Amino acid sequence: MIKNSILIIGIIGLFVFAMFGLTILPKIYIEPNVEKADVYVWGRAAEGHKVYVSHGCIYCHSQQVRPKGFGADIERGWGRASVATDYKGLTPHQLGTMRTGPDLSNIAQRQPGRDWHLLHLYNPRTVIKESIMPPYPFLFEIVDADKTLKEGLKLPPEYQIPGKKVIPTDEANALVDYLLSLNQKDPIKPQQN
Amino acid sequence: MNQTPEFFDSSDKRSMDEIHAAAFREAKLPEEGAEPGPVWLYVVIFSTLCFGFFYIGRYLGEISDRPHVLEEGAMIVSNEPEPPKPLFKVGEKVYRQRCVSCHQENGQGVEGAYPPLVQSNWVTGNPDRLVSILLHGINGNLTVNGKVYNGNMPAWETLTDEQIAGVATYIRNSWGNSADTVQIATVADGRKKITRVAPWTEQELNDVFKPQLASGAKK
Amino acid sequence: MNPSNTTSVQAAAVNHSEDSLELDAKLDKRSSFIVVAFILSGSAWLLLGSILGTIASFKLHIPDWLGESAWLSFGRVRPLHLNWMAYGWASQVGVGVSLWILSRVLKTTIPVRPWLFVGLLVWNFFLLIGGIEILMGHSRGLEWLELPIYTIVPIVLVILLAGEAALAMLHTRKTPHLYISAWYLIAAFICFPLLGVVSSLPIFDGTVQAGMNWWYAHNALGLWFTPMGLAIAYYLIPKVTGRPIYSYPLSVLGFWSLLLFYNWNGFHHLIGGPVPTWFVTISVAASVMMIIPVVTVAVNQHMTIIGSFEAVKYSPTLRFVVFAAMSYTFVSIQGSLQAIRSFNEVIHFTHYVIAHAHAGVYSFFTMMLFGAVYYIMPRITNWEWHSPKLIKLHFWLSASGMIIYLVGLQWGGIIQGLEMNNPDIPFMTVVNNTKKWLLSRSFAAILLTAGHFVFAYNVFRLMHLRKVRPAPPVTWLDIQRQRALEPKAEPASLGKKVTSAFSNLNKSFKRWANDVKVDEH
Repeated sequence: MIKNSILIIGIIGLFVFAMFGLTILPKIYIEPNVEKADVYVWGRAAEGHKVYVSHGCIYCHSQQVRPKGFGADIERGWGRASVATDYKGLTPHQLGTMRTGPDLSNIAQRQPGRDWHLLHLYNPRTVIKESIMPPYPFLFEIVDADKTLKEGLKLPPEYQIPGKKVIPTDEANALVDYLLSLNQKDPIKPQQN
Repeated sequence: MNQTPEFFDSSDKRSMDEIHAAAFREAKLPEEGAEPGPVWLYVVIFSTLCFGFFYIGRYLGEISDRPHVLEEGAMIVSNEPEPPKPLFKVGEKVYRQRCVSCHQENGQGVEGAYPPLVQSNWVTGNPDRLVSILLHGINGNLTVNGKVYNGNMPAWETLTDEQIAGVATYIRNSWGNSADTVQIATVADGRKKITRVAPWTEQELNDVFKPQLASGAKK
Repeated sequence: MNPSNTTSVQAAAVNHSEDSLELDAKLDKRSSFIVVAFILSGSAWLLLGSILGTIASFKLHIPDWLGESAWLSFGRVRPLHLNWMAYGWASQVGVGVSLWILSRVLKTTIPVRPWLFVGLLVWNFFLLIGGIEILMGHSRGLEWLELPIYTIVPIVLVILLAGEAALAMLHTRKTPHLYISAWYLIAAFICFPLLGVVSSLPIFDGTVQAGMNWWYAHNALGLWFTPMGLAIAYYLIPKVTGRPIYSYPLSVLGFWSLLLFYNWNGFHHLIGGPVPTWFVTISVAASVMMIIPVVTVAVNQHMTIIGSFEAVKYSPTLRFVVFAAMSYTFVSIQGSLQAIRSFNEVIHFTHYVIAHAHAGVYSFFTMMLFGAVYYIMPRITNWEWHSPKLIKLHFWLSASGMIIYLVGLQWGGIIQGLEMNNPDIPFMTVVNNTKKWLLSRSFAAILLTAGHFVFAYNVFRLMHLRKVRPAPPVTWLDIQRQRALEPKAEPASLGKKVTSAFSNLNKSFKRWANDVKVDEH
């Protein structure tokens, strides 16, 4: 019956060994420098991050740029190679592993237009005919044109609803704020060792 | 359900054979053999181990928190000047990355929102005006070829002079457009001459710029 | 291969009603209710998960379909598909089947059965609540860990309870020898609760969290589903073919090397990402070293079954199990190769990876579970499967659906990756070129879902539509016994060998001509 204990101790031992190696050790190595970094995420963008998580954007959009010489992320203008400090202060992480759509690490640099983002969220095919991104009409309110002073979306004619305005909700605005905060404009300081 | 399924009915008086007929048609689990396995298996195991240790030794990089260690110079911004590319090529790249989402791959724009660049005097006309639009953006309505478009255009002042000149050159000479190259110096001048924070409106553009430059327009 | 194999089949044939079979039957009777409960419950999640998966697949080429509803948007349906399949179907049926196998190989009853049943109800309750939370947009936002903490923790605790039951069985076992399936199952039941607990700790942030995320996700497959699947194969292949496992030492080597290397694989999901390079390198090396346990297991199982491949004609169980075992070898070798940086550079971020994940969870694990369910249900419910034809239909729907899925999406994924790494190709062109492969995936999804409904109907019919008891099947073992009784040609001169070869040929022709009516189970 000696085998029982060998089996159990062996399994737990190998498991804990790897768990230490892949979860605790990275924490020890990565976190100190990230904590020092001077990165802030302001209120609305943090709200938008929640909306981003809630609608599962991660399943089609990554937020990690691979370095030069590995893939063509940088040549595509998706930004510079990502580093740990880019993700400070936002949890859950949204690195993503799928690019059905383009990487968003640096989307605010490529497309700074708020209107465009709102149109694109309302229905991506208003601005990109062949897009396969799902529409998010539920982030918008459709109200009678004469009952609101707010400005509606400037939709192309075939998407306009006569007598109605399409008004983005707070959620939609927060999400766009978040997208417009995804900006790698500031060069990253070289990390110290 | 008011009737208990029979498979766990404890009052079932039938014999084991009847109830679990299926179990009795099994064979006893045979005791395992103790073959050593083919030699090639050990060759595979040994070579895999060798490869594993070689891989770790070769690609471990350094024990630190730095990512992208293997891609040389990935994190360092190169100081060496890149070989100059033709402006058209530079512009094509910028256009693909930053402009297509509104003005589209074919330069046709989106009806009602983003104006076409094809056959548009705003593009092929006065290069100073085009450069200034690129640098500062536009708000409000814009009339192109008799149609009104009202999508806002962001300011692209963060792009370099070369990129602005390139993309201007690119859109002036694509999709059947044909106009002269916009020089990098033109952009530099444009940046110096006009400093503004707010985007242009159509009215302001018309007040400041002439639609054509005497020397600029070929069309 | 091994001359002792034939004799052991005969021995088994002679000892038809031996003690151990009676003991097995008694154990089956005790495990019956709880195992049936887990299998039925898991099968219900399978149907729900299939529908969600199909919806998600169609949404990728008809993006406006059901677009008005936030609850049914792609970003919510897709993670729910994963969670209900992984924690509903695969885990629940996996737990049921595992407990049954443990009871069989350790010759002891499953303890705390009423509590396990209560646990199953709790599990279902929280899985449902967690699913609704995901649809409402309250996902935790980590892949494979979308269920909110308060719903995943009770589920982990229920699995911990099942693990306790497994450990209790290990201690009360009546067999001095520990069969290899038990090794794997104990490992699964120890590792998953630990994984679940560590991944729920709120101490991870940023890229560290990403590392933890993929460590978890890969281990959920590698240390939870994989050992259960291999345990099923190690138990059912000898059971159905009547041949002993080729080599116990190889089984043990495969077991420990799996635990040693699989544990370290997680970071290969972050190649090129913002994590320290040396962690990635270690994970890549460990992924490549997975070749060791995989090839060892493949040799062991192949050598066990070799010579009995004909049995797949008679046993639908074996058909599923062999498909699954071959898929395991395929998907694991593929996994080792695609972890290598230069290959990963192409397929990372593409649909190829989605297909690879399905090859693991479906082609390997789900097919293994189907095989196990087809084997176990007649034993614990005292009823035979009604229609061998429908079982066959299920197999072919699942197998062909999966092959179409894998070929289409992996081919498409490689094209997508190559095009994405060429900056001269506009991104929209890349998207447009994936559309036809996404369409092929939807076609596969329909086949798979149809297969699952056939499976569910088979189970439902066996449970509730009992009128005339179907005739017991002719098993592969019966065929073997029958052949053993036939007079054997004496091994002698070449002339005799030739004549015996002819007579064998003649016999098999006659068998074929008489169309021995082979019923199946």
